[in-house]
Amino acid sequence: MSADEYADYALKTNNLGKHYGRSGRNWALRDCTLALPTGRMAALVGPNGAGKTTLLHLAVGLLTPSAGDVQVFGHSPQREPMAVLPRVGFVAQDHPLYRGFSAADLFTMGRKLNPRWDQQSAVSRMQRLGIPLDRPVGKLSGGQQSQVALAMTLAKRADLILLDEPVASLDPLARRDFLRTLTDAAAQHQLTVLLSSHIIADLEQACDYLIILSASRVQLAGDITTIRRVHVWLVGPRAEAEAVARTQTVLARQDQGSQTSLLVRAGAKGQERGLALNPAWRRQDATLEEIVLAYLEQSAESAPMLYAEDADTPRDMEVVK
Amino acid sequence: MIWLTWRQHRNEAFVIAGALALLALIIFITGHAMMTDYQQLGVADCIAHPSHPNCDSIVSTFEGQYEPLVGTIGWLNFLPGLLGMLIGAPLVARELEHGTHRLAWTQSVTRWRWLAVKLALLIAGTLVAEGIITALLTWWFGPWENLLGRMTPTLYDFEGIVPFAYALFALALGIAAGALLRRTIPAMVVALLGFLAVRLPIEFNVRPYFQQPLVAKFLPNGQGTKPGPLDWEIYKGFADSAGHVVQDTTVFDTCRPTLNVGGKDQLAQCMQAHGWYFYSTYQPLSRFWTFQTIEASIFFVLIIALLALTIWWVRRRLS
Repeated sequence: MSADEYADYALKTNNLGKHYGRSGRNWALRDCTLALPTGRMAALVGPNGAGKTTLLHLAVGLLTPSAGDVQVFGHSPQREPMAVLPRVGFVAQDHPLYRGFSAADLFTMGRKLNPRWDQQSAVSRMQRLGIPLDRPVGKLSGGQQSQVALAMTLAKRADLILLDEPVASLDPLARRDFLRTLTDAAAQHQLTVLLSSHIIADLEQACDYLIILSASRVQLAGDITTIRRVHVWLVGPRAEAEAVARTQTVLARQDQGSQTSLLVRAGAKGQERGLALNPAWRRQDATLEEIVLAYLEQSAESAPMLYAEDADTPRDMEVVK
Repeated sequence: MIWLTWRQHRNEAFVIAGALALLALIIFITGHAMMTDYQQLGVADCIAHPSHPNCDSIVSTFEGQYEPLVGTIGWLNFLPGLLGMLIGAPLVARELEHGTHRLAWTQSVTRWRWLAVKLALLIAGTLVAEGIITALLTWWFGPWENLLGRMTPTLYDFEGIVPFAYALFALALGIAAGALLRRTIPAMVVALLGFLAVRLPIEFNVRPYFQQPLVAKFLPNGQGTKPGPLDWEIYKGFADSAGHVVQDTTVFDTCRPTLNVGGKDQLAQCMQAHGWYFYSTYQPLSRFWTFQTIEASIFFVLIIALLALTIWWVRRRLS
């Protein structure tokens, strides 16, 4: 792929892989191909150990790929760090901060180390949240620390913000406040955001794009509205389940008495192949959580790998590979 | 980066500055007392006019009085090890342990620059602190330059340029250990033990042979050539006329009876009769700067290697 093709995307990877050790057997991430369009608020979902952290670290240049390619706004984070670093904000897992530093110290650090620093927004955000600027951040609550880390990242005036499990350690209230700060800033500054998490309910409220990473591969990537439209439960008599399943891409099956529910993936326009022919079956909406769980339960090899494009240009989802 | 480095290390800088002030005070007070006694006991006169009466006892009184203090000052040889342990080892390791490298290395500064600025400032700080210590100790050892000479390890280790080499080596070793081991405590252990494991063998096993030692052969009555009082004596014993070492016990078993009856002359006669000499190898005072340069060069090579390893490791391997 040429650099131009990459440039329309905030983040693009091509067969990206990372393994540890010399033997190359322990792949933390493998054959990861995805493209995150600019302006999206994307969720990166996957079980622990799926490679979410590895992907984010590769994107921000903390790690070097063992295979394939990663580009941020058309530049390699490893080979052209100064083209990437000023445009990417990163909140690492557990939002590490220098515990002895006050928020004011951290903002001074940010101001000294970043060309586009927005001191005013960082300070006023702290004041709005009632977080003292002069106290060592090690003495702040976990929620407050995460807000300081987020404020630092937003004040960098980056175009792409990457967050690794930013709300995992937060209580529900702090989680809501954190995501609210993030979505407000993203809307205000047209940021592209990619945040990894395993709390699907939160993501559904905050995000409009979903990437499912499982067994170190991308299982599904696309607009959340599109994903919800093309995944549907088909509910009908158990006796006919096998016959119907043969005509569909079935992701999950639930049997309840004489009834069977099949979670299927349809065309982008929501037309399930052959379904019209069978009036005994009816459609039922699937929740995002059900869809995500169905993909996470697929084994690495059997899972259908999808790449769902924007909802604005509805077309059948394109199968990658 | 300069601000960040200062902010992260300012507490250590204050502690070191305080410790240096305390050390300077101790050095000044003890040094002042020592130099007063040096004049008042008449040691200075004895150095200027060695033929003065009672000089032997004057000098030995002074030495006896201040040798414990010199021995205490000798503990300062561990200072570089502490520096490497407390400042060097945590530099990278603590960032990796706390995950803060993910904060530091994702600002708009490459990690190469992050590391380069930190190394430069810590090296500069180390040189300044070491400069102060070396100046203080060189002044403090002033009287001993006339009694032991700068070539003696007691003085040599704290004067000239080797103290700077020791300090930078310990620092570089601590930083490299921290980067490679990624854990502060093990890196601290490696920093201290590694420093001693290089520093001590070089002093005891390598330094005496930077250049071929000079040989002196003489008899108890002063006949022959003796090493000067300010030269560094490496080996002291007995030898036959061919230069082969004779065991001390052999000489004493043979000649001690005459020692009891007569004086130095009788022992000399006994030794002469057997063809034995006092035998010593030594490095003359005049080689001080040559030795300093050689030893500093050895450490300089190690310092460069450790810094290069650290830079390569942080840029390439920690990713």
